Amino acid sequence: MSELTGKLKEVLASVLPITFIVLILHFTISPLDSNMFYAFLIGSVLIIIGLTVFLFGISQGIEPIGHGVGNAITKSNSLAVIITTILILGFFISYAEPDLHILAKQVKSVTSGQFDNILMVVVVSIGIGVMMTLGMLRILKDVRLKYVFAGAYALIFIFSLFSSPDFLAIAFDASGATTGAITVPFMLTLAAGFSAMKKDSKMSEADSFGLVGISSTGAILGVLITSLFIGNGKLNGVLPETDIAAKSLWELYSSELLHIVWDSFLTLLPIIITYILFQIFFFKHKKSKVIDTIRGLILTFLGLVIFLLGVNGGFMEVGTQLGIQLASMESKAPVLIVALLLGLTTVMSEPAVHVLTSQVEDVTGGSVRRILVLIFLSVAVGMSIFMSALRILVPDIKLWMYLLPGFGLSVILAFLVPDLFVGMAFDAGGVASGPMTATFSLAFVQGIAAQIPTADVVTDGFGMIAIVAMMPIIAIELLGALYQAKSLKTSNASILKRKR
Amino acid sequence: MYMYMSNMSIDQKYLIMTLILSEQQCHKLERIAKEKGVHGGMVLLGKGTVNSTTLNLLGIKSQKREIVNFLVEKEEAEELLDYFTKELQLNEPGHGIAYTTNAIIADQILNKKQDSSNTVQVVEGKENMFKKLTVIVNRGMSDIVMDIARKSGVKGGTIIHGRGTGSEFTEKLLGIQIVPEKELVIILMPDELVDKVVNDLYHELQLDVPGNGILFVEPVVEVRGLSDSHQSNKNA
Repeated sequence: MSELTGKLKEVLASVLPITFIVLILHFTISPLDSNMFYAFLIGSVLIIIGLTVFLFGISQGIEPIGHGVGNAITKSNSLAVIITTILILGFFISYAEPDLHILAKQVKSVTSGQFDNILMVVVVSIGIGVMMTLGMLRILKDVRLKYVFAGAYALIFIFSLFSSPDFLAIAFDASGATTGAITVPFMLTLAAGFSAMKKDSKMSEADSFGLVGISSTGAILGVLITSLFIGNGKLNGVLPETDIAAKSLWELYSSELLHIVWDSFLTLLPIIITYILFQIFFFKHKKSKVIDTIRGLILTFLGLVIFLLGVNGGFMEVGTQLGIQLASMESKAPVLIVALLLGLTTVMSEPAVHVLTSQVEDVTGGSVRRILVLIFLSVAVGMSIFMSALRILVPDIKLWMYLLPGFGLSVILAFLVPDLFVGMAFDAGGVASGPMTATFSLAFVQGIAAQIPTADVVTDGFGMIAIVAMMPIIAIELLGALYQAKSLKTSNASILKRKR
Repeated sequence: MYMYMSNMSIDQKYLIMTLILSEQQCHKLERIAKEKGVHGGMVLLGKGTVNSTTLNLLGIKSQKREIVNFLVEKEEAEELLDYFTKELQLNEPGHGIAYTTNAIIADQILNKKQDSSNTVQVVEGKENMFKKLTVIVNRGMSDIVMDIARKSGVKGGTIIHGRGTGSEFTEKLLGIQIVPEKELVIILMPDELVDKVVNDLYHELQLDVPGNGILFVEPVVEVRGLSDSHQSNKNA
């Protein structure tokens, strides 16, 4: 049973910190309504169970499919096959992402219907499809990642000069929304399966990463380009108020259950269809293997439903409540400290983070330890939530003051650190902005914004995901720089010693 | 220039120690091995089987395992094996396994080979005996290894990738060791090629420089599926 308990321990270690922080806050400075408190405890248990089941499902279902598809399209050895498959796949993976639809509806209401929700979903999906295809072609044609990112972010910069800051925030949020819990593992393994077919082992290692990061830029470019055509009015609509009416525990969870089941099914649908088609035409796996994969998909589905149920039922409202209570305090120190702590701990319970870090260990043969990547990610997201909270409290700080230097730095660093870390870093940006951040942390930040008169719930909320997507890039690139320096030192030391 | 002796001899000095452990056990091993002064090991990632019907029903059919290879001196092998067994509680079921096997040549002692007296002749029972050559080099070097080996008459090889265990100089980042990535190349070859290939690899890769890599040759009892390549090797 050691495998099961081992995974459970890993998940416990990543979910318990955030639970403890909320517990401590509850008993000290920010007591929660008792109903909400119990909902939170149930939510934590659900997240622990859900995440464990989900991770098993991913490794049995999604990863083999992603890897297999990557292998199969490389073997086809036809540019036409690769381009059409990835274009279609990228479009539908993104189109099926429920977070994107939620975001698009919010955008429609804040732009007073100017930016239609279906239009937004379509342009983002096209962007993802196109950039994902380019990302795969890059692996094939040996174009270094840093040039791709430098090019993509230069384009984003140019387009952002012509669009309003509000649209910039929406664009970055769209990229965060599309890289969900299912999409990221699938893309990661797709790239790994695709690049594993290359002869040069060092290049193939570096090429296993980066696809998530490149695809994200597609979403940003899609929104920015569209915003050029539909005018640049300042956002003036209002966000439909979500009612935080007192519901009983049972009502709270049961009302969420149905749409979570449906949303999770929709997210998985493109991958299920892909699997069926590839199984018929390429894989032709034996029956026992098909059963394994199907069981993996079912576990993924169940795990995701339980996880999201915990997050939406128990965590989201606690986030809002904490934000409101802490921001209304006289001193602003508690809210900033809690922002930092929440960021530090929530990222560990993001499902995709587990998938990314274990793929890092697999691809590097255990040379880059998972725990190191986790520490850097955790600090990065802690800083992001802190910076988001600070921006709300100090209205003079504009979003671009974070984003311009931040993304500038991440592109510059990309030229200084090993290729492997460049890909990991930009992928980590998409990974960190998963369901936990998009619900719990976002709710917390919006809670603060609701309490601060100078803040605008809409624009401040939208900007947060952009910051969460940016900071991990810098952090992982710094890890890469340190890593390179340390391993150089090691080899020099051993040579010196022998010479003596 | 040094010439390698053509007769096959079991190296009395070195043994290959292999341990198959879980992830945490492996990190512990790397730590205690370092304390004991054992360096230059290689870790490969693998999967172990799971013997539990409940888990199999859930689709959990394998668990993460790490395979560690060390080249250890024969005199200290037994003591080390006992020490590791005690520290890692290998006697208890499920805690991992460890074993040692013979190495014929290990590169560290190549230089001393000429005047070495502690070698024993291997009785060659059959014709067309094969040997297994293992080369451990830094990541990205395996192509060069194969290029050299091909030039020396070898037809193909298998590349596995993993990480090194820390050396005594290993740097740390936040208390976590930074270990280099390594590649392990396995080549099966007929006896008559071993001399040339080992010599070529040893000199072209400059394996006498520390940190460049290690190689060792192990005896193989039976080989199937290689006869064709053996023929073409002779022609090459």
